[in-house]
Amino acid sequence: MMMGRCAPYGVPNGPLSSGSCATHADNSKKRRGRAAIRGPRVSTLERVADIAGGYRLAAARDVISAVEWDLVASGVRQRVRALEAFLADVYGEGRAFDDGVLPWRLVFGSEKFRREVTGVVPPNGVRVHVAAVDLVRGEDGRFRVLGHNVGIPPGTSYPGEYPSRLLGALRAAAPHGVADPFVVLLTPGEHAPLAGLMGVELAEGRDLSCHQNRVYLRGRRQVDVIYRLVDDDWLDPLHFRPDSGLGCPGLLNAARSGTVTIANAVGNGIAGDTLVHPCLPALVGYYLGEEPLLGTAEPGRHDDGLRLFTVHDGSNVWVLPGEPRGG
Amino acid sequence: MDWRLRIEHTTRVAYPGPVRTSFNEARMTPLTLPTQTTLEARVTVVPGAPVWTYHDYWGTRVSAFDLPEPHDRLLIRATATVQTQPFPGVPASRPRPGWAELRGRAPHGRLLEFLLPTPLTTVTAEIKQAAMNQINGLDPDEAARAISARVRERVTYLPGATGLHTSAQEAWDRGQGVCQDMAQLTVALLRAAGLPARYVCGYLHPDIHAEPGRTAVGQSHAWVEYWAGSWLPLDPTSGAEVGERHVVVARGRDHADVPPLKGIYHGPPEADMEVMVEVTRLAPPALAVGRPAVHVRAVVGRVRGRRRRGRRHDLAGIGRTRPRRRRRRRCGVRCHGAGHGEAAAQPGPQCYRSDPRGDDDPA
Repeated sequence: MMMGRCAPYGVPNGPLSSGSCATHADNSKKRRGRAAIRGPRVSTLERVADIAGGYRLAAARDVISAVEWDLVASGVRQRVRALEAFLADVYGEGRAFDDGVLPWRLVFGSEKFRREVTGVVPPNGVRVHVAAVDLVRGEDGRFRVLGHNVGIPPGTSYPGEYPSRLLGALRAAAPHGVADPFVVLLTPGEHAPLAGLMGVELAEGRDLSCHQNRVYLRGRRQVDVIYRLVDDDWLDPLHFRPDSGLGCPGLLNAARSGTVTIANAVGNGIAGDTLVHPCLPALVGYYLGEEPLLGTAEPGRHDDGLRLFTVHDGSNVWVLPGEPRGG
Repeated sequence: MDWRLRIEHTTRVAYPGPVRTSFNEARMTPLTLPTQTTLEARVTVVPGAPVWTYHDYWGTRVSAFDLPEPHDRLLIRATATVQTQPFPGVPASRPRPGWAELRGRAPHGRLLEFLLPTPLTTVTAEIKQAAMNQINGLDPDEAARAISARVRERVTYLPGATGLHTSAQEAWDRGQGVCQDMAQLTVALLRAAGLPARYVCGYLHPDIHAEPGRTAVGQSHAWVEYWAGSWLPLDPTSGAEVGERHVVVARGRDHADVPPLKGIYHGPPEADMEVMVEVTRLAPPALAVGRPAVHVRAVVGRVRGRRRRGRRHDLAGIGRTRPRRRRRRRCGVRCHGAGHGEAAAQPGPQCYRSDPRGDDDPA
């Protein structure tokens, strides 16, 4: 059940104002329970702008108050920083494991742990350039994190700011010394709208080629940043699945030599492991020395959900409202 | 006494037609360890290409290169000069952990990685049980030697009986194999017994009494190391002590972690691969002024590249000595990667590498 739907713009191409009452009436029962925490709502202007963009705007800010939004955004930011620290640790020293905060089994037993990327250093320290975080509201009215995706975040609709923030983060992740990076979106065959919105080149695996640790688009222009929507397994047939035609052989060694940045980083999948998720509040404390702002929800069915996107450009973690979602 | 060894590892690949966009990684450079020092090492390729090196997760030095232009031959020559020492053994003063300590401690630290089975080192519970029965009442070191002896007793050394992707279980069932199979089976049983174990890949000078200045036939070799307070080597193929004759190149969980050569290319699926390892014991440095030791060449192994789906010829296979006969089978040329933009009738990307999922058996 999507609570956010009480807002008219939560529905694709929904009517702007007239439908509002009707939708609210449908959900009046739930609405009463939430009325107390509902704060100021986004302006109609903002909604119109977003609808004009042709994409369904997330109704996130409609379901939660401004005050609560700040808390949620801080909590999500904190999580992303903890996930970054976790991934740097997994592919680095393994401090948390040696200290007994996490069991080594979590790494060595995971199929998502990619030994191949050891030694690949992200230029601005960012591995989670973009993430999707799913929140649910518990019985007590508080939001908790149900899960996160730091590999290839799902979604076919993107909130208004998303493409420009993402492009900013990708450009910020360019290899050292590249002032005007050439960014390419590597797709298994879809997602053209996002490339259009970001204003970057769309490429399939066959469009890319590697030579002496440099990546070229159609054999001509050197690529500096690859935002990939191709899973780790298919990215580089030299290191992963040899039968893959979706990626390009040599990509990983190019990233290792520092001439190209792959976003999100290869090997992030381990942070999405179901075993890691419950440990995250503890990891916030361990890596950041902070109290966790958001708890972790029990897996299962939840009625009142919300998906947020985060974009990390090295200095800021932007939290962007995503879309309401049912359990 | 220290040995100084000169190793020349030559891999020749001949393709039946032109090959392009070939990406390769060679793991052929000996490590520098307390018991061995790599004095000089070099990997060169023909056709000429810059060779880029990096250290992988296991600490192995990897030589990577790519060849975009069409070519029908590939030569990889890895040379190294290594000074080796006998394995010093464990000082008697050093306390040796018992079973209780090993089983209590190892699964909770980094050693866990060398306790978990991999696809190539997974064996059935029956085999594990049989091994456990055999080591009943022995201390960890005795148990490791007993397991090694059991593997030697079970598996007859027979080149050509197994393939590069043969698992420990298959080697046990077949009762035949080469050093790679025996090492992987030993690793599997050591892990089953609770001893962290790793697969070691390198070179062996086969003559224990080789005098300085004498040479002998060299070969690629695989053996194991187990952890009982410290890492200790064990050579299940020969049962001999691991010492000056052994040169370590790479260590991992199984062969798939340390393939001497892996690569992928566009071109015909069939390739002839010839691997030659020459190991020469050099005279001690003081005597080496002037002419170096006599250099004897020997063709050690010949690995043919037919693969089930015609895609993979891998390896500079370890210990896969085969009679030198020329057999070449051409598989139909197939397109293998839609993403590489090849028409169906044109050659697709080919791959040679150790792939634990493969079941390519060059029988």
